[in-house]
Amino acid sequence: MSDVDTRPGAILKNNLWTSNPIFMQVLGICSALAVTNLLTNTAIMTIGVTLVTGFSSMTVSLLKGFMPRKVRMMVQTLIIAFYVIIVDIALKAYLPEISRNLGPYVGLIITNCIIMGRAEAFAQSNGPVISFWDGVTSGLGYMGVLMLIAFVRELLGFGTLFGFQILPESFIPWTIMVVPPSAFFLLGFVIWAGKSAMNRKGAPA
Amino acid sequence: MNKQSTLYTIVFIFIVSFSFVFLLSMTNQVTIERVELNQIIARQRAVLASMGVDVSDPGRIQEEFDRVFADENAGLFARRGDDRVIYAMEFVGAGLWGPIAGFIAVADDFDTMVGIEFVDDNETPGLGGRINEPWFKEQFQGLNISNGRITVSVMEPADPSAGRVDGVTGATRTSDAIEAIVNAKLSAFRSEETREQFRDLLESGGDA
Amino acid sequence: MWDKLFQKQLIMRRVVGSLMVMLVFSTYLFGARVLIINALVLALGIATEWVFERARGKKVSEAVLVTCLLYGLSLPPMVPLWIAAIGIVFAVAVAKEMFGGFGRNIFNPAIAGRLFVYISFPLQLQQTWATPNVPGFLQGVFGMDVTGSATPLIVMEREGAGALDFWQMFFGFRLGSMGETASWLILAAAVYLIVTKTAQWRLIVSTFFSALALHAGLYIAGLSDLVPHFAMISGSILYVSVFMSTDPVSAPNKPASQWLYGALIGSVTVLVRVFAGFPEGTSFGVLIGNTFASLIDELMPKPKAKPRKPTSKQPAAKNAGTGGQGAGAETVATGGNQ
Repeated sequence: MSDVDTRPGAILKNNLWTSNPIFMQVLGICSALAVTNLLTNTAIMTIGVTLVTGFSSMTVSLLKGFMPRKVRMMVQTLIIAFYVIIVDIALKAYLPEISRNLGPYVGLIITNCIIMGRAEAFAQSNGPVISFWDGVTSGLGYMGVLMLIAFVRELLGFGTLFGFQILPESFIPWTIMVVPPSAFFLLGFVIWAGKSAMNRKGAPA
Repeated sequence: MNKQSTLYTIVFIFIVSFSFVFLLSMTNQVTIERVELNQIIARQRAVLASMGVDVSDPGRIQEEFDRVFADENAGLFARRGDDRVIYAMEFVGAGLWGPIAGFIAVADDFDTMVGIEFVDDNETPGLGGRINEPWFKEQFQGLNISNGRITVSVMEPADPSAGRVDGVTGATRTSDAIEAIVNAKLSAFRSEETREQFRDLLESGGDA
Repeated sequence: MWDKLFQKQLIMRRVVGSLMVMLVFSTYLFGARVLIINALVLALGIATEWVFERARGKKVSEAVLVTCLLYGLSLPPMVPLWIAAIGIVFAVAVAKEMFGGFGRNIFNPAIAGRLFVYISFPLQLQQTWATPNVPGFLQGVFGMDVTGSATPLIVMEREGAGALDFWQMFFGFRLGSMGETASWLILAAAVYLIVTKTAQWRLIVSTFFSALALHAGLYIAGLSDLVPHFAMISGSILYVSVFMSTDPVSAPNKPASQWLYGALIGSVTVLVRVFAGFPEGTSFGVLIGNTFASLIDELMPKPKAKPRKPTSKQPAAKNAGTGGQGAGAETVATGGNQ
């Protein structure tokens, strides 16, 4: 679908909704489970992914004319790793606390299939600017779902939002929301709700 | 030029790798001082926090740390408080998923604990990871350690005078790990050798 | 009224009947709070299923009554009402309806709900036991004390079985969840359910005896402090053998796989009891059993031709036709036709 329609609006809708990387393509699930128990961590992590997806798509698109076919994937991985390391260094230098909290997950952005997916499916055959836009919107689609999950998990697991106490002291936190399995249930909910809404509107699934 | 030829491929890969790695080392070079400073401050903050010093203002950390005698090689720290000397020691021990590292501080009578601070752990977030929450760490302040050991118990209620603190519910193994780590360090504190080192540290003025 | 709301399921009615007996005796043991909790759980469970089934234009299954009672009776008597409520809504909404409703759920909804609250609120579910107090009908509503003290499984690990009285435990006078304490009643229910061909005897026998055998083995080997015959009437292993592992939806169909399935539940239960941090392991046992049920069925040799439950086929086909459930439903439909 996305190979055909390259208008910015269509790309936006596609990446945020009709082929949302998380709940339609079910990509990048590892990090969806691992980092979503606190909103702040999720926000930083998903901003990182969005930037990496955007810039690596752009770079892949810029280099596509020079790239020998047989080493295409290698070069894509190199580009992605480059941006991930930049993000990692930036976090260590300017947000040391969050860098500590996210631990290995920043490095693991490299293995996030969304980024490679966009590079391969879109940036390889489109111009740099629109590829950047495609990457960023994909990242935003990912961010939207993860923030939703993190919202529920932090609220019920800690009684807080972005670290601020929201629920009264007497609230008993749900231990299960803090551990990764709860992200499975919530992801199930999101996929189910998203697909049901889509089917109701008669959009192609 | 044939883009699929081996020579072109090798040259291409070389140029791409070279330029990206070059850019990365540039970035690293630019930020390295900042990263290191962050690490030093984080470490000093942790030492001070274990000693019960207020570290809420990051700007004052280095100033406060100037009053600490430090032997970085042995991981020993001493600080003259208003009415007593506080000793702190660095620790690394086995947690559930990986090492737990931090600092433990005791008063100069070696019978009262002053505090504990963790700098690194890989415990389950939200379960064992809750050892970083204030309620858990505050339990160690003023804890009676005159019998040389503490208990971190999930089942029995906390009793500071008997050296017993509440464990983290649902994280028995992390609680056990903390108990083992703290007890190992407490026996180190009680050894004559360590006390000697602390006395030397205070007299020499340290290399702080 | 009843016919408008519920689809008729005779098998479920017999299970409901035997659970009702358990409910009455439990009320005798722990007081009227048992009734309050189970009434709340029933109301919420039915309401949740009704909301979902109405959207599909179908009736509520009578199986939901079984789910509610199984879940309700598996809770400790003094459990806070709001926790009981969260668990049953999760059980019906997530473990049952999200998979497509009756006949399609992979996991036993009652046990999924039970485990959900067990992991979410470990403190509240491990410290809300109450001592059976007869006659204490009204006392249970207001004044009954929460007994934080240890259930038989914990007592045995700490003090040994000497501190327990076998027959007192057998007749239900011990700490435990509302429906699990009266071993004699569960055994009676087992006989009734087997005689009326409501429950598959292989499942009960394999679950129970695999747990007993492993308990005995570990005890003799000196690895466990749990004395086998006490262990089998402690916790919920008996309750789970008779009511949970026999759930026709989540259990396998071939005789050979039923033996294996029961043995899996029984042994996982004992392994969790003996080696893991949780005192009781039945919920984990059942969930792991559920997870592997279809796989075990798939791997076992073909049985003598035995028709699958018609309930799982018809609605699947309907949904796939309208494109309603997408790929998931189609898989179920083809699976049913094989």
